[in-house]
Amino acid sequence: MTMSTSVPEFTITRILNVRRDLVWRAWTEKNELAAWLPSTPLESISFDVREGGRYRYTMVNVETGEEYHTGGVFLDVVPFERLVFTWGYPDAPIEDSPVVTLTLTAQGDRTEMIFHLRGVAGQPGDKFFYDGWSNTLDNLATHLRDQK
Amino acid sequence: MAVKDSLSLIFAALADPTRRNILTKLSQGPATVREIAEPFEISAPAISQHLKVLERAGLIERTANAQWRTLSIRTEPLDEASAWVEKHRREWNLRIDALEEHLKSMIKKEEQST
Repeated sequence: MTMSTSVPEFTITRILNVRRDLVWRAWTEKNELAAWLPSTPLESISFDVREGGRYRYTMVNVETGEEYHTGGVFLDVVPFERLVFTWGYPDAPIEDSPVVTLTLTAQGDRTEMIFHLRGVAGQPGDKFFYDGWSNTLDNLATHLRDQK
Repeated sequence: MAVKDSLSLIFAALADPTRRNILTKLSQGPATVREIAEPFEISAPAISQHLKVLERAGLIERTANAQWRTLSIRTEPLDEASAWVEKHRREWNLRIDALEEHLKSMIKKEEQST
């Protein structure tokens, strides 16, 4: 029997042919977000980019008019380097929400972008809950060990 | 975006390494609670707590034989979790394609204004 009993998560890594500050702006400024998030009207976007700040945006199905509300809390904000936020229903509890960790590394005029999405933040104290970068790295190391 | 409640229960259950180990063991076949607990150096109440979390997420079920009770794995929630990962991997790849396109236009705008 083959099955995956691993943590539901995935990582997308891209080398972008632009400077890091532009990538940061594209992820944190309303006007830029409205330009690349699919079917998301500018007026539906609110972003309070600081630790503990909230964000929300609404995708609108142009054919049916149906609205999909998305939002969450910024868990960690290191300008130009790292953005960690829950990604789910706007007012869902942190521990039940998926967590995105976006890591930007400057490589001259290029930027390495690592997008990581994990299915759930976890409960405080369960060794999985997001509580800092070092812990995330520890978790990653543990996870890699577990897979061996 | 949608993580239904059942999915967050599944994800939270899978978040713990001990629970993942229990599932891996059960994927080889049904076992008794004692057999499950054996390899772990944690107390019986702790094991029972982990089993409760797995059961609530629908990842295991208990069956009572004439003599003893066994645990077995249920794979449907795992399929649901993999489907979630695949769906969002696809969607985010598309979004990031759109981001790359937009970054190009940001550079153009910058060049024009200088």
